[in-house]
Amino acid sequence: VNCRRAQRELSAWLDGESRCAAAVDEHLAGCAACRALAAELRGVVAAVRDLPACDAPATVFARAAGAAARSSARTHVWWIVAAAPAAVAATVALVVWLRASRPLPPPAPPVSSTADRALLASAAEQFARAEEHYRRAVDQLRRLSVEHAAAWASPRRQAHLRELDVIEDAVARLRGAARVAPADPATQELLFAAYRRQLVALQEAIFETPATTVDEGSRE
Amino acid sequence: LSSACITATVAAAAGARESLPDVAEASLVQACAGGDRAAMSRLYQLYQRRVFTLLVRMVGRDDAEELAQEVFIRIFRGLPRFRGDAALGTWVYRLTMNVSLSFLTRTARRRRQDARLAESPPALAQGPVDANPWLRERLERALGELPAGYRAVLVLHDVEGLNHEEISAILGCRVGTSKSQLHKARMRMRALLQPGSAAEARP
Repeated sequence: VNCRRAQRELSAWLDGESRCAAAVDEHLAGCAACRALAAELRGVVAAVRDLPACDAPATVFARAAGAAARSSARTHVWWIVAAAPAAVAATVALVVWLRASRPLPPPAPPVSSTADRALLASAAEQFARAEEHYRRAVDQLRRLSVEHAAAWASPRRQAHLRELDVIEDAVARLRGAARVAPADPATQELLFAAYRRQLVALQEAIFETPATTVDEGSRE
Repeated sequence: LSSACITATVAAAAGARESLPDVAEASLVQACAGGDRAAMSRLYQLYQRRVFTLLVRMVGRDDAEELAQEVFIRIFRGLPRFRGDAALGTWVYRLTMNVSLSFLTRTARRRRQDARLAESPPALAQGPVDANPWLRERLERALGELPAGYRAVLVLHDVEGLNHEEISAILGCRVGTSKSQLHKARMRMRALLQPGSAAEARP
């Protein structure tokens, strides 16, 4: 091989991967310039290989794990927030469809026949199921928000808890009203609106927690 | 899980560059994907040195810490979707390289836009003090002068000790490309380390 060819092969030759190692050997034996180049390249490889390994600062893990956990909590919260109203909307649509397909005979008393009573019972059951979706979503979010709120300064935590109390109070009153008039669409709508408000308040509490607070609060 | 953690800890303590056995790796990945903080910590211990060294050599120490954080966030978030098509180590290296290269592209673009910054190439800065700080400083400066593609192959091959098949999997290039880039990178390093070269002359 000539100098050009030998020089192109030098890296592979140094790594013991050249397919024409014997030819390179032979060339180097008779060519001082290529021998010098090979020695210099060997020096470069050795020097680069000897560069020290570096350890990451300890803070990297805490921050990365905290951020990853935060993003998965966020996904979790979005899932709850998105799923609960969707489930409720589907149930309410079903109730409305049931009513539309078997209209109650106004203006007579709403419960006038066995069929109507069955329809109302079914509507009440669907309503209870829709409400159950909301309550479960609220409970899950509440658990998450308690973890986050633990890291807050006291006045902010108090304000958050007061807001939740007010909403919970409204929910309790509307649930009472809904028990008295289970078929009243206005009461249902108000109750579901109160649940939605509760979801939003909890969601805000979780998302507004500053990053540093969560990192400090995260256990390691 | 506990056996996975123990294996991971042993491997990390030994500073091993090898991957975990497949089974241990799979259960560690699964535990991490499930949000198990202890497993995440084991995984971190297993890979932090490789990730951080690669970042320091690619972008310099000043930016390595922030990028290491980004890499591990991507690892932890990506693990639930990690299907084991590639070895975990290859996947980690690929993520690290992607983060490094996109950072270098970003900073290069910014530097082009800002004439003042064009005067100061990325400072590939100080590691722990070693026997020959003068040589190391020259080396790091020369590494910083290499085009990013050359630097990537050189660091993966000569610093991390990977072979060309692994490098081609990490960088998504052909094996032949990895080989020729390595040779060009070494030749360029040799030129940069010559007395009187740009890297040599810079204070």
